Amino acid sequence: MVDLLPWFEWFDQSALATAAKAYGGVFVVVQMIHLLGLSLLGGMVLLCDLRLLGLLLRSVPLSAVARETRRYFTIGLLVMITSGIFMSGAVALKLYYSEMYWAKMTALLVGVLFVYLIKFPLLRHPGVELNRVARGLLASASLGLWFTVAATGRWIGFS
Amino acid sequence: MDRSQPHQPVTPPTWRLRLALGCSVAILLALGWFWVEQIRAVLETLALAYG
Repeated sequence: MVDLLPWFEWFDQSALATAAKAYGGVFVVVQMIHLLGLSLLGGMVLLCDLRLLGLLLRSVPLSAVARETRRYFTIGLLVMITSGIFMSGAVALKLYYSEMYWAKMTALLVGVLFVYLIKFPLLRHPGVELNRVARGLLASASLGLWFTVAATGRWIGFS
Repeated sequence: MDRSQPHQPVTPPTWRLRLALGCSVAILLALGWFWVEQIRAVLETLALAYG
């Protein structure tokens, strides 16, 4: 397996990491933007998955909900990734040795692949219909993944 | 969003549906294992501290 420690050591010494460590005020603002991105992403996940479960927006076609939430999901994801890279500069070496960081990155990667390669392509056809079991499995996997991304992200701060 | 023209119900391709269901089950199993391990670790820590 590729050892990423040299990359994390380089990142820890980079100008970005120096800025993240030196300017506490900037770090806090970026952290707030990160949480806003998470809120937007989480909101879109909840909208789409609760629609899949038939708990809200039942009068709106599934494909329309998926299409509308996809746009803002992508914006939230990009905001999170951009701000997350900056924030990780402040604690790059700590992150490398954090089990929860790798759990979060794994869940994030699987979540992104699941959303863009599995969930949205399945729901994109206008008038798409899925049976109750399929909708339940799809929504549960998605909710579980993004809950894990958020929970392990917070866990990093306490480990 | 346009809700004025209802679409005919469409069933997705079988392979895509099976792929989605297979991935969903695999993800749920992996997440279940992960969280059970975390809870077990917390309980072990508590048992060491207070047991």
